[in-house]
Amino acid sequence: MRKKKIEIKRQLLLLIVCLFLLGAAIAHSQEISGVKNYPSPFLMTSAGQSPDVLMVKIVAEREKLDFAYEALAETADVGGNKTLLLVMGVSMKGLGSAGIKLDEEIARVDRIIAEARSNDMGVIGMFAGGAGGRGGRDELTDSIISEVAPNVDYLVVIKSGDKDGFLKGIAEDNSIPLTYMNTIVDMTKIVPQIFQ
Amino acid sequence: MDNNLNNNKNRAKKDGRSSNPRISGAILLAVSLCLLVYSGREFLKMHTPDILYPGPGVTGRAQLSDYAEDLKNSPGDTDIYILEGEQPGGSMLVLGGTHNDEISGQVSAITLIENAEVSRGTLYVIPRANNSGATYTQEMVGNPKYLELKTEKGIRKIRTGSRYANFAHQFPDPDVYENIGGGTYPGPESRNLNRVYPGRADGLLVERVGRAIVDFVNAEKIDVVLDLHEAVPEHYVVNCMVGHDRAMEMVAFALMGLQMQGIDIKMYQSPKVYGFSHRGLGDHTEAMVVLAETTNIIQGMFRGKPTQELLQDGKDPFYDILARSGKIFVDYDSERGSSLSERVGRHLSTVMELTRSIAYFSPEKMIEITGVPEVTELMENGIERYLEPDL
Repeated sequence: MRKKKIEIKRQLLLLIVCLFLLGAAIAHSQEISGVKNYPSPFLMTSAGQSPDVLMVKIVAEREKLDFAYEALAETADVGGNKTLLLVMGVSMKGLGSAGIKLDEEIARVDRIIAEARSNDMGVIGMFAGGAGGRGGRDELTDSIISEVAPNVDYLVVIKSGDKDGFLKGIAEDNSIPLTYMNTIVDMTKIVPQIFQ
Repeated sequence: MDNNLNNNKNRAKKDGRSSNPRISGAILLAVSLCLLVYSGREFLKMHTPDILYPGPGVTGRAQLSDYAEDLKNSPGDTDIYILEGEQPGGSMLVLGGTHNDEISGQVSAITLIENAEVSRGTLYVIPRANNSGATYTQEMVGNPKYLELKTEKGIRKIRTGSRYANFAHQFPDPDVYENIGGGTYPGPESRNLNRVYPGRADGLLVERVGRAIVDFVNAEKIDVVLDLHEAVPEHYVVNCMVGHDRAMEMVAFALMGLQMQGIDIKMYQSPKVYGFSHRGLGDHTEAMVVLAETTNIIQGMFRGKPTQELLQDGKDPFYDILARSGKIFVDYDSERGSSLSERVGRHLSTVMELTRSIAYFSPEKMIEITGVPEVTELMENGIERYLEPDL
C-alpha cells in the first residue's frame, strides 16, 4: 500500500515536471508568425524625427542587439551595417529641434535608402505611433510614409496605427510583406525576432 | 404723462399696493446690496485654501518662498510637500495646479500627498503651482467652483480654479506679453505659469513664481520634474507626454510601460519655445522635465452645460459628433466618457512609470514609491476611495 502511494507521488511529480517543461517550451516558442529575418548589425534612424524611434532603441538595447542609432543618420553612417531600420513618423517639434524642414528630412531618408541599396542592404520600415485619435498618424506622417514605405523591403506596423488600412494598402500595392504588432508588447518580441 | 401717473397711483391704491417710489427704491437697493454681499462672500470663499490631509508618507513641508523670499505672504507663495525615503536615491518633483482648472493635475498631486509612501529617494509635491489661480474660476465660462467628490464618509471639496493667476493679484495685463526667452503671447498669458518659464526674479508675480520653481529645483538638485496638465480633445497635444531633450529616452521607456498597461498615450519632444515648463525649466536646471496631458471634456469648446457631473465623468454627447467626424485627437464615446478617476489614474501611472524608467537608466537615482493607485485600480475603485472627506 505504502509503495503504491510513493509510486503515485512519483508519477505526479514527473507529470508536474513534464508540464513545467512543456510550458517553458511553449513560452520560448511564442514567436510571432510571419516575421522576416534580417542580418545584424543594423543602422536605426528616424524618418520624420518622431521620438517613437526611441522605443525601438530601448528594445534593441535591452535585447543587446548589434546596432547603431543615429537620429540624423547620413550616407556615411550606412557603411558597415547589413540592414537599415527606418522608424517612420513626423514630429514638427522633433524636426524643429533638429533644425530641419520636412522636405530636407525626406531628402535625407531618400539618400540613406539609396546608399543602403547600393550596399545590398535590406531596408525595414516601422511605424510604432500611438493609437491616439487619428490612429497616431497625421497628414505629415502620412506624407513621409507615402515617400518611404514603398521603397522598403519589409513593413512592421502597430495595428492601432493602421485602422484605415493605409499602410496595408501600400504593402499590397508594392508586394511588401507586412507584420502587424497588436500592442507595444509585440514590439519587444518582434524586434529581436527580426535580428535573431 | 401726469394723467398716466395718476391712473397708475389710483390702480395701485385699488390693489392695496404702496405707491411710494422711495420705498420701492429702498427695497430694491436693499435686495441688491444683500445679493452683492452674498455673491461677494461666495466669491471670496475661494480665497480660503483647501484643507489637505497629508498621509504617513509626508515627512516635511516647505514653502516656495523659502527659495524666493519676496514671495513670502504673497498670493504666489505655495506649499511644498516632502516625502523622503530612509534610503538615498533620486528625487522627483510633481507639479499640480499649474493650470488649476485642469483638475486631474491637482487631484493627482493631492492623492500622492495623501497616499504615497517613499522608501528610497525623495518625492516633492506642489499641489498648486499657480496658487493665485485657485482663488477664482475663469470668467464667462461657468465652471463649477469646486470639485465635490462623494467619498464613503462624506464630501471632499477641492477648488477648481483657473488657468491664469487672479487678475486682482497681477494687474494690469500688458497688451503683448514677452517672456524672458523672447516668446510673445497675448497679454493675459503673463498670468499663465506655463508661459513664463524660466521666469524672472524681478518680474511680474507669476514670473517670480516660475523663477522660484527653477531656483527650488536647482537648490534641491531635483532629478525629474513632472508637470501635470489636461487638454481638450480637439487639441493634438492631448493624452501625451512632452519631454525636454534630455528626458526623451526616459519618456520613451515610460511610454512603453504605460502602453503595456493599456493606456493610449503619445510622446512629443519639447519645441525650442520658451515659456513652457518642459523647455524653460529643462534648459535652466539639470532636471529631466516632462509634462503630461490627459483629456478634460469640460474645458472643451463644444461641451454642453458645465456641470459637476461633467467635471467628474466627462460624458458629453456633443463630443460623439466630433469623434465620429474625426475632428478630435482621442478615442472618445460619451458612454464611457473621460472620468476623473481615469485621468488621475493616467497621471499617477505616469508618475510610477517614470520612477521605473529612472530605475532602468540610472539605478543609483532610483525612487521607490508605494501606496499609489494606478489607472486600473482607480477605474475600478474610483478616486473617491483614496481621498479623505472634509471634516
